[in-house]
Amino acid sequence: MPKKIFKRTLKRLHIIRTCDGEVSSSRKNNYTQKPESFRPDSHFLNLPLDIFNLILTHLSYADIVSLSLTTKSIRYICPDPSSETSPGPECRSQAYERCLPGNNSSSKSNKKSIFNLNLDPEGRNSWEGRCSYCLHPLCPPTCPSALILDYRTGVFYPASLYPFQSATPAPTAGFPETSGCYERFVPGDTLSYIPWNNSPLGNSDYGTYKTIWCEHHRCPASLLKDNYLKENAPTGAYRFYGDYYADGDWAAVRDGPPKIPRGAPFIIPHTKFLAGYRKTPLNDPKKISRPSSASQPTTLEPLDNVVKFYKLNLNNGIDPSFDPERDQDPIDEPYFYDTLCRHCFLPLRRSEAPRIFWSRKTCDCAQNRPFKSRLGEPSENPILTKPGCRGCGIVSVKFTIIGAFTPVPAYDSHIHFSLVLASEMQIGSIRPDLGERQLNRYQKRLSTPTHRPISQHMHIQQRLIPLNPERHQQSLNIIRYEPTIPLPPKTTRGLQNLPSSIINRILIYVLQNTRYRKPRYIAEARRLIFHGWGDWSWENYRNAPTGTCSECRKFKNLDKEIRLRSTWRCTDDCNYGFHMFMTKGSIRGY
Amino acid sequence: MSQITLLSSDNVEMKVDKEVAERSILIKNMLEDVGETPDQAIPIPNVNEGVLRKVIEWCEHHRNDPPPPADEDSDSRKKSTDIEEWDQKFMQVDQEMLFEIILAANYLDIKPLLDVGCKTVANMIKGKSPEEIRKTFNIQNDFTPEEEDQIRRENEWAEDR
Repeated sequence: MPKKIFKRTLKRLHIIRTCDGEVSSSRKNNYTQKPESFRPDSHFLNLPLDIFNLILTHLSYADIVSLSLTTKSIRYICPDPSSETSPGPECRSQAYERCLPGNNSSSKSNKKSIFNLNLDPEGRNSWEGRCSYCLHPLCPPTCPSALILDYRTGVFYPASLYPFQSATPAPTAGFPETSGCYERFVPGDTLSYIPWNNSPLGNSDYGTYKTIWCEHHRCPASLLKDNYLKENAPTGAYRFYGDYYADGDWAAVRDGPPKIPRGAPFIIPHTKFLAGYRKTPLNDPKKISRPSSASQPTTLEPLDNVVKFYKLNLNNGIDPSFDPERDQDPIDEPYFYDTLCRHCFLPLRRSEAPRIFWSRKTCDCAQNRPFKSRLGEPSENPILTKPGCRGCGIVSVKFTIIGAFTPVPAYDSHIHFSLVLASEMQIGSIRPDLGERQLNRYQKRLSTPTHRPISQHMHIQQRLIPLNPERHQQSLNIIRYEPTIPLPPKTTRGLQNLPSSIINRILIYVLQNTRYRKPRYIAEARRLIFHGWGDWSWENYRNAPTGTCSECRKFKNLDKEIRLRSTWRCTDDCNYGFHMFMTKGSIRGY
Repeated sequence: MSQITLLSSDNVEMKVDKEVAERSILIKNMLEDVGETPDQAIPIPNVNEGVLRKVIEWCEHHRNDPPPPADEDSDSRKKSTDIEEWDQKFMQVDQEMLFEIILAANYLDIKPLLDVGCKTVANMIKGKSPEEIRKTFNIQNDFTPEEEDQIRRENEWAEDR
């Protein structure tokens, strides 16, 4: 190669010392530029300005505000409020409120503040400052661990997801104060179907809260159990029944999304998910006095030929720490995901879903607040042109349905009371699902967060993780009515990560000498592995109402002996025997 | 397949397929100018061995990717902050290495890699409070409470509703 040409090309590479040792005038390049005002101890602040600007193009206005408030040297990146590129004053105000907490709310005299007392001259808020249900004094929402129970939906929101500056306490007028009307609010199997719409708010605006739970206050876990059918309950327990069973959105949220028809392009799985184990089993056989009529078969005592019982779950495949003597009750906490607007805190409208199942209102900020790019032009960046507020951005939220009160015994079962926790999430990883293997029908039901279509032929699977895992765990602990035994730490790889063909092969070996060797059982076993449904225990059977199948809980019009034998097989509606095999490692009698 | 030799700033030579090296527009243009495969090592003076190996690893993985569109305005790289899983794992390095990769991508003119790096940094910022960003990037807070109050007042929304 001619040496002259090579030298010239090397110069293009900004090489300082050429072959002859001369110093190039192009020495100053972006790579070595360091603005004087930048601090040398932050690699981020030492980036060249053009790269810095490139990063800014990926951020929403709210994120740019947050970044600009880290240090004075980059304060300038935020558009000036007077410029036309700045979003509206309300968005700007909200962005700064989030970034600069602890501001003096008295300056917002125009707003009906959550801190203000005695708002209502009619005395509706006589409990104001106290919990509506247990009458305990409340912390303000500025408490770092505050979870605000939204009256409209029955969801606990952290302050970062709730318009708490303008929130007002829900009125209590019209709600049952005593058990005088307990006949109407006694929890029972059919109570949720009673049309009761005594809410004085009806379709009120968002931002009305019922109570605040935090590290310093949460209603007694036994509040409902202790006041069950009590005629002179001294607390607001019956208010809770009223809210819980009212004909509103509470039930819609805690019941989760409706079942989605097959082939639907947009899937929000709402699967059960093993969250841990309950230390105190609900159905401790030592404590429960069973009626003699509910004869239990002696053949269903714990199996004597159980070799080893390993609990399968989605997180780590095999959990050797599981002790069936100690950890009797697995806890399932279903969840679903949605995206909220950070401006109005309402869910975004989606073309795939004509209505949001858990909220009657959706965000319309995109239509109301057009946003321009930092250069003053309409932005084509989809991050900024997605639905939601252009200035405040959007946020992914996980809604976890959690047992919040000690279940109330009723008949042969328990009535559970679940409330919902909203947690801020962030994208942890993204995986195109046209990768190593195609998702099949069962895998699509996995508890993966979202399947967001990006084109007709391709889906992207986003795995969301909590924005603040410690805070998320703290919130879970506040709402759960008793501490749980946590699951072992997650491993990166487990049984469930194996390719389907290998799992199939393993299951063929496992099931080859049983009557469950047919392909449909293998597919079912794979589903159990994926879903971590190896939760079945003998307690489930023992507490099945008399005359019903212990698996599907449907009444079997058979005499007892046949029913019991049938229950082992339960071939019509469920595979109880197979579940037993998968969870107990044995199928005694077969 | 022809190979070329790259020389890192710490004088470590690395042989790499020409096709892989040409993911760098800078090197590609240089090789086009030269017209033949150089027999001398091409010095990459601002990139040390560790970073250069990472960059080459990325280029090898993406050697068959289509070239990015030339038109900056319609550039698909700005369309989203989505990052492929492999790239996410690739970028799971300490911050110093992350920024070195970004700078090297900028220097070598590897736009897709530069974009992945910028998206990674953007994702580290998104949804975080200023204090969390400070912790993430080791930034010292030099705002006084009075200055924060001033900013808050300047951006307060006073409209009645």
